[in-house]
Amino acid sequence: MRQRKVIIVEDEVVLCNLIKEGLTSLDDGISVETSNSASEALSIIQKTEIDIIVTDIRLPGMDGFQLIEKAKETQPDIMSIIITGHGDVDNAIEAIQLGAINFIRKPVAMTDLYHAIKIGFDRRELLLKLKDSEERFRSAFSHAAAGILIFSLEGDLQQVNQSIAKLLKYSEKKLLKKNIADLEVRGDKPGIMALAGKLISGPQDHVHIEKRLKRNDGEIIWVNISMSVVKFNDKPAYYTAQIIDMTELHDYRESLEHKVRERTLELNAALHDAEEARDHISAIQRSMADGMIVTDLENRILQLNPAAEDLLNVDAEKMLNQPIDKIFIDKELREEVLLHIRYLDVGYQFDFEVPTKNRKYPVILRARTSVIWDKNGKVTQIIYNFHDVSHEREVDRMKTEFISTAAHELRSPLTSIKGFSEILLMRDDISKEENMRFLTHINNQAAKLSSIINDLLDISRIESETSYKLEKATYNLGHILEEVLQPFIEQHPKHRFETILPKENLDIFIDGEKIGQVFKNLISNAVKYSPDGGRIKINCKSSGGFFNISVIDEGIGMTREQVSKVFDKFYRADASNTAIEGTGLGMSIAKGLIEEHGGSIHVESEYGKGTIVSFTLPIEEKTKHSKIETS
Amino acid sequence: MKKILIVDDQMEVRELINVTLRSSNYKLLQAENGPQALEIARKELPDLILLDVMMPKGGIDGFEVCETLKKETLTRDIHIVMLTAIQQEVDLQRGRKAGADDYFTKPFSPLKLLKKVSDILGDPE
Repeated sequence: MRQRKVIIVEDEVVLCNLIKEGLTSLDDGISVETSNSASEALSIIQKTEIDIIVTDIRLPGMDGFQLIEKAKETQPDIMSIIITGHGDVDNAIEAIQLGAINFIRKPVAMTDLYHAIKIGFDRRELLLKLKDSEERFRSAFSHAAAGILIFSLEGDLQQVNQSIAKLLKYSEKKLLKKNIADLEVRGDKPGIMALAGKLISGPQDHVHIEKRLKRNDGEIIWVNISMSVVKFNDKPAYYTAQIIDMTELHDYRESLEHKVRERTLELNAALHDAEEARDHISAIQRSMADGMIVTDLENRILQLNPAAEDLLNVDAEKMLNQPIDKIFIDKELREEVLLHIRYLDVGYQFDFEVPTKNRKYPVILRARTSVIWDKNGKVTQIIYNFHDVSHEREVDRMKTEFISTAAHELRSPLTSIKGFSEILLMRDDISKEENMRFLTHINNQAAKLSSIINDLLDISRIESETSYKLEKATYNLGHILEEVLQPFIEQHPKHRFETILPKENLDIFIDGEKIGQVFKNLISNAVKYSPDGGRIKINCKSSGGFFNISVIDEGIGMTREQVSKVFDKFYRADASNTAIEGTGLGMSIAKGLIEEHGGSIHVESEYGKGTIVSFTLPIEEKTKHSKIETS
Repeated sequence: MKKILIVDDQMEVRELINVTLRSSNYKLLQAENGPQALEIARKELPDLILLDVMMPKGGIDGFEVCETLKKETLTRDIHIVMLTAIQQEVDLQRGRKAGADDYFTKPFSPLKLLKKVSDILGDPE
């Protein structure tokens, strides 16, 4: 421990020495200087560190008070004790007010003095300690790397350190004139004072925020602020804020976040594109009329679109991961197909049959293969695309049938014509009567041939739709019927013909010749299929803009099967009956012509009882181009 | 005398064939549909049947008549010539399958028919 030093300043030399002796004898740890004048003492104090001055007030020249004052200029922490004479109490009080720590009355009691000195030592030590810690704190505050602000409850800056001044590019002095709000960027929310206010009312006494501050040069920086409220006796006194420059960190993080955002956007866009493409593809697959099956190389079904479900009459979910054998049931076909697949015959086309219960004809699908390559050029999946060719097949079949039937129909009359004419030319054993009969055969068959050819031309015209043109005009339906009916009445006396026509106007916008042909076909059928005669009734009514016309006979009628075939080309309900002639095209032609007029036709028949053929015809032509009326 | 059965649903065709073959010394029989043809064939056992393919009536066409006769011991040796208006692969196949011995296409020249018949049956007795 440092030796404490006391200086005794007393103009009475004896007393001065007594005190020195007394103190030294009481405590050898105290070094005692003596001086008999203030000026002498002062010069000692200016050279040597003294802990306590013990001085008389009344001294020659400079008095005790002045000495203390002067001494403090050199050593601010010096303690002082006053020695006073009688009647100097007022002075003593003044001394205390001046900063003396105690006073001792004369005559000086050594123990009292010693005690006072001891207190002085303690006091000084405390003071030094306090000063030291204050100094340390001040130094820490002012040299701290973090910026520190202390501001009032109103936001006025009370203390700032070098760092914050440097950070904000202010001088400390100028900064102290500012309010915390002056440092904020206008409009930034929440404001520091708003947050600070919450510290007083809220449960927390500190808060960390990231904020922008405005520097003296106008630049804006990002900082991290840790703010707390300081309370004395539970009352808020001021705020402290520690401020760390985040600009670099913030910029770095900002750019990082920006990059992340950018990448996220890119990824989202890519994802969106991919999803869109996927949706697009799946929409195409779903809406595709063609069936599609995707298999792996083990011929397992991976995918099956709705059209495929429909065409194959299967449930896609049940088919997934099933072998393709479930689809290509025919073993021979399957082996053939899979052989082509094995050799990656892309575009291999084949037809296959789908078993059906309810349909008249089997469903035939035409498939085509393709493959999916991965990016390494390896085949990964096989695609089968297929569509229904049943109709095409059926049309093909009907065409073939039509041609052979037509050929047959043409060859039958030709057989007679060619045969009888050759007989007449080559043979001499033909009687006159036979001669006549054979010529009649030839003539009849030639007429039949010509009628067949006319029918064929009609049917081909009707079927090719586009080239078929009705020549419509206003006709009287009654007149057309009458004209057609007359020859039948004359040629078929066994039959009774009855017509029932409505009283109103029978004008109708039609192709008269073609509708005449329809009547002719239907009436001739009625006559042909009632070989024993009977009544043939033609009933005509008008309703809802249509004429409903029925041709009713009491003939042999038809079975249900025959009715179902009545509109098939070349179908003849009773073809073998030589009395009943015809090409089997009459009903098909009638149907074509009626439909061409926008009407419909249907047949009812009961075997053995007769047949009713009914059809409708619109009275007025539907106006396709409405006229623009000018007012 | 060799017997020939003419089967055709058309009266004119039957008459034509009849006239064609009448001067030669054959016995000519006629049927206008499938069931009739079977009946006459079984009863008369003709040497030759000229059989039309298309005969809608009676529910039995020429192919079926042929097939039936070729199955029966009594009638299987009867020479059958199919008369067809359709010279098509399908019909020829059907005819062969039914066991027909030959076919003859309509329309035909009566002279050629006569020659065909005499080739099959030999000169009429």
